[in-house]
Amino acid sequence: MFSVGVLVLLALGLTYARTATSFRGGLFACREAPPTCDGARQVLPLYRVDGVAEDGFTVSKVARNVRVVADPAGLEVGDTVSVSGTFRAADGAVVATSVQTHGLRRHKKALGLLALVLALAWAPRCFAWRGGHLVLRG
Amino acid sequence: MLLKAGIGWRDVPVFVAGSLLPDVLARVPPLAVELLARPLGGAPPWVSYVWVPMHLPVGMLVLSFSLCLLFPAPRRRVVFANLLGGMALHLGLDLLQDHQGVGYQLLFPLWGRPVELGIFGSEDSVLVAPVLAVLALGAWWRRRSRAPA
Repeated sequence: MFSVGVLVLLALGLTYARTATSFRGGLFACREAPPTCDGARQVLPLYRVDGVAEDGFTVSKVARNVRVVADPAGLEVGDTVSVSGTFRAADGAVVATSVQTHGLRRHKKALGLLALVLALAWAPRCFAWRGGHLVLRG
Repeated sequence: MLLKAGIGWRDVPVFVAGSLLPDVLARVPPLAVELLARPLGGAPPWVSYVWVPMHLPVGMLVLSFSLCLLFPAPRRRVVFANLLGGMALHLGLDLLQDHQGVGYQLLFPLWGRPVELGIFGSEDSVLVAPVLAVLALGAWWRRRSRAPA
């Protein structure tokens, strides 16, 4: 039954991935067929800044090298930003209507990593494998 | 831990594991893939998306059910409830965050509309987490010192 659960999770994951990469008006579909998406609203949450130019910047996460037309003042490579804007079919850029910089993102990742390491270090004190089953200690 | 301190201390490790698993299974792998694949020009998008359902209610249900099967039969209901409770707490707090409208598809795969309440910023937890950690440690220490030797 455990392996059935893993297979169900895999099927759900593949369904989600197919939907996320193909839904109409989404960034992936728009980049595949730009003329069908001119002016479509786009949101790029928590993307990493890869490059900064005079008239904008490029970001990557799941979608890579997305050009954003916006005022790049104050941005540096490696910053994390969330961008709202519209897709421009002529050059495949996202014309930003708002850019939010996430200055504390690195701290959040560091805290998350610390919590994960502590949890993994603590786990053997709480769980054990006995008689073919996982059991709680104590 | 603070929640369990309020409602009873049984099965805290399972509840805490449940509260961590959504990020451990749905966020860490894509981040790792992204980092590893960056020098190669990046991984295909589906590699990042395939983990996401484990951060959504349907995936949490399947995951809790699958993991509880690893425990002895008499404990499975309690383990299932605690795992799911921890995951629900995690998702509930995440729903309060603002991601510019890109929230969580709570009814996936039946309905794809994302939901979020946007009450506080996605990094505001950085300011609150250390305080909560100290309070949780305090609650744990108090219980430990009161427990019979």
